[in-house]
Parts: sequence; C-alpha cells; structure tokens
Amino acid sequence: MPSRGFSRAVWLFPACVGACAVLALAVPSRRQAWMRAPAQLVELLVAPVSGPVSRLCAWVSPRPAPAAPGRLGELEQENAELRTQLLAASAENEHLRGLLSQARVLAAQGAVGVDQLPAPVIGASADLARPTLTLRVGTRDGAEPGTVATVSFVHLLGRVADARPRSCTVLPITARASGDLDAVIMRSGAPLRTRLSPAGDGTLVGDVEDKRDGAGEPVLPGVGDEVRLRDSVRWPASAQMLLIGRVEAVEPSPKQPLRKIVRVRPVVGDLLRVGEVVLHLTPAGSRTRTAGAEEGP
Amino acid sequence: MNGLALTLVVWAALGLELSLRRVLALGDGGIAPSFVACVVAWMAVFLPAKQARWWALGVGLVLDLLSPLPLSGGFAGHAAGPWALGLLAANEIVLALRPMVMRRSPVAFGFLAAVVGASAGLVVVFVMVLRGALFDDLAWSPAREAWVRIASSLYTGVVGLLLSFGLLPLADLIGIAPASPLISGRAARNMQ
Repeated sequence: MPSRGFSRAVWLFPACVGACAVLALAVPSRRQAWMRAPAQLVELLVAPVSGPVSRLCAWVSPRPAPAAPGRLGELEQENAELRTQLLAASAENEHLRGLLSQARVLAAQGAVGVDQLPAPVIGASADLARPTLTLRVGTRDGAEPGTVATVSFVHLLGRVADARPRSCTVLPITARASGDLDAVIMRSGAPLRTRLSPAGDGTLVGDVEDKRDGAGEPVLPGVGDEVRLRDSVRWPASAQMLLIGRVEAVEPSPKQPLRKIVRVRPVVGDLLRVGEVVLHLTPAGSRTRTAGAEEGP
Repeated sequence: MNGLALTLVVWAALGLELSLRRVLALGDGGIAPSFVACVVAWMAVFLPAKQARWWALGVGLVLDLLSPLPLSGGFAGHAAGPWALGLLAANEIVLALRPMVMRRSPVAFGFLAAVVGASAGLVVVFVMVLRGALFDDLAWSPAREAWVRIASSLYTGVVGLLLSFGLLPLADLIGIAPASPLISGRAARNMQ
C-alpha cells in the first residue's frame, strides 16, 4: 500500500499540471462552459471581501459622475434623463418615419417598456487587461446577456456579457472585446455620425462622416461635444441616445486627411471604478429593434 | 503550518484583487498592482517547494475562474489554465531564486513579487496569444498586453515592498517560516 500512495503522490501533481496545460492550450472557451458553476461559487466565496472593499472604495473615492449638491443636483439629473428620453424618442420617430416610407412597419414595434434595476458592483475581473465588472444581480433578477448597463441612468456603461443566477458580468464599452458602435456627435442643428472603436486606454476613437451645411461649409466636431449612441443594429431600443461621453480630441484622419477622427472619453471617467450600475431590463423579445425585422419575411 | 490561516490570507488577497486593484490602477491603461502575486511570492519564499507548487497551481486556477475572457461579439467565456500555468512558472522562478536572496528583506520581497507578476503575466500573454491563433476569437494586442503586465509587475513590486512589513511577520505568526533564517542555500534545499 505505501507504494500505491507514493505512486499517487508522484503522479498527481504532473497530472494536474498536464490537465491545466491541455485546458489552456487545446480546449476552446466555448467547450469550457462547465466552468461557469465553479466560477460563480468562487465569486460568492470572494464577495464577502471584495464587496465591502468595493463599497468602501466607492465611498472614499470621488463619485464618477459628480453632481451639484441639493436641489440643483436633482434638477440637473432630471434634466439629463429627460434630455436622453427626448433624444431617444426623436430617434425612434425618425426610425419609424423611415420604416413607414418603406411600408415595412411591423405592428409589434410599439413602445418598449424598460425596468431600471440598480445593481451594486461587487468586483472586477482579476485581470484588468480583460476588463469586466461583476454585479450582484443575476438571471433571477432579470439580467441576461445583452442587457444594457448604465451609470446614473443616462451614461452608457456597457452590456451584460454573461449572467448567472445571482451575479452577472458586464463588459464596458471601452473594452476592446465590446466591438464597434455607431454614434452621433451632437452638433447643434447638424448631428454628425461616427463609428467608434475602443482604443484600449479608456477612450473610443472613430472616423466622422463628411457633412456640409447649407452654405457648403464642412460641419466639424468640436472638443466637448456630447456623443450619444445611435446604433439600432447592435444595441436595443432602450439604449438609443444614451450618453457615451464627450469629444476629447479632434484630429485629421491618417487614412483620409480631409476627414476627421474624434477621441471620445466617457463622462464618468474610468468605467471600471463605478460603484453602482443601473441595468435597463427590457421584456423578452424586444431586445433589438432589428430582431423583429429580421424575423419577418 | 496553519493551513486555515494560509487560506484566509489567500482569500483576502483574492478579494483585494477584485476590488482594491481597480482603484489603485494608474490611468486607464490597466496598470495595477497584483495582491495575489505578492501572496504567491510570499508562499514561494517560505513554504516547502512541494506545498508552494500546489498552492500556486490552486491560486492560479481560482484566478482563472475569476477572470472572464471577453470574446469578440461582447460575450464572456472562461479558460482554465493560463493563470495556473503562469503562477506555477513564477513560483518555480522564485523557488530557484530564494536561496540567493535574503528572505526577510522587504526589498528582496518586493523584487520577488515583481518577478512573480512579470513572469506570470508573460506566460498568460503567451497562452492567450496561442489561444487567439488556434481557436478563440479574442480582441487582443499582444505587445500592449505584455507592456501593461510588465509595468504592472513594477507596481506590484512597490506594493509588495509595502506589504512585506505585514506579510513577513505573518509568516512567523502562522508558522510557515523556516525555523532559522540563517539556513539558506544548499542546506535549505536539503531541508525540503
């Protein structure tokens, strides 16, 4: 029997290392979905440390979206929410007018009810090069992959990338893996369309469309202009016109010197430092406006 | 050795890794200290080699579970192994270096924490580059990731130096430190 015990001790460690090497180098992540259960268990075990420390840090460090104190702050917040709703309604109207003109309006495309669910951040990815946030809400609360996450209701944070029963993982829009998004730069009278890509340093960069005013002069973006989401293909209706950030820099495009590229930074600063997130829960089946259209004839 | 106390230290380090690390990040580039790297360096310095290897492998696997893998298209997956292999490789480097350093020196401890952070990070980058080339559709820039991890390891070294004032006495307290700090080199290796 001692020899058997010795044999097990000798082979167990190399076997574990070999298993890790095989999982790391030969098994795609789609075949490692079974890891979600132990991952959730580990998250729950670590949450008693990471949750209170996260709340303490959110309390100690300045709020990401500073608001004026008292009644003025409440009015400013209300103003920002109403402005977002107005712009979203305008975008919806424009979209519906386009559909009407093509006689392709679907009866099912009514107003989308959105429930807003505040969710505390209990941690971030252990690997900040792959930035994600972990929230203490999950599928039992209504969160599911694709659910839109915001800060203070109007600042776009990102989307739920993975949801477990009691927690979910949010991928910020500034993470490289979140992909491109279409947006509009709010110039008075002449909004400019742009396609933004995460730069990897907490900002988004994109080419601006070439647009001219009535006098033939080019309409140029300016530093400080608001940039809002306008991407009905990849984002649901409830996310349209949410605030992405402000233009931080305008430079000539290296590909086409006559056109401009903009660098946009979220108003809330570093999206990984937020302490609380608001999820926009939409009824099942109304995730994206185009989904219904794609299902049609 | 008090295994429960060691588990509590690892648990606290993992909690800080998920919460305090993002607050201490420099700018928006992801350069941040790793508390787990400090604890792995601490265990590699004081534990017998065999136990240190098991702990490094275990902590690495837990770190893999806590590091969702953002895939193109906005979805997240998991991959077991990158951090486990990375921390195991880093642990081996510290095991090789520890006869040559003063275990109780805060500066030496900071240096070893930086070595753990850099070597584990580079192994992770290597594994992820291979995964990206073979099957996973990852949004990765290997050169940038390597730079971020090396810069983070320097930051980890500084934090490790500060943490050493708590961790080095703690090794005595929970009974993982060798009986005599004067025994080093070949004699220490023979003791293991």
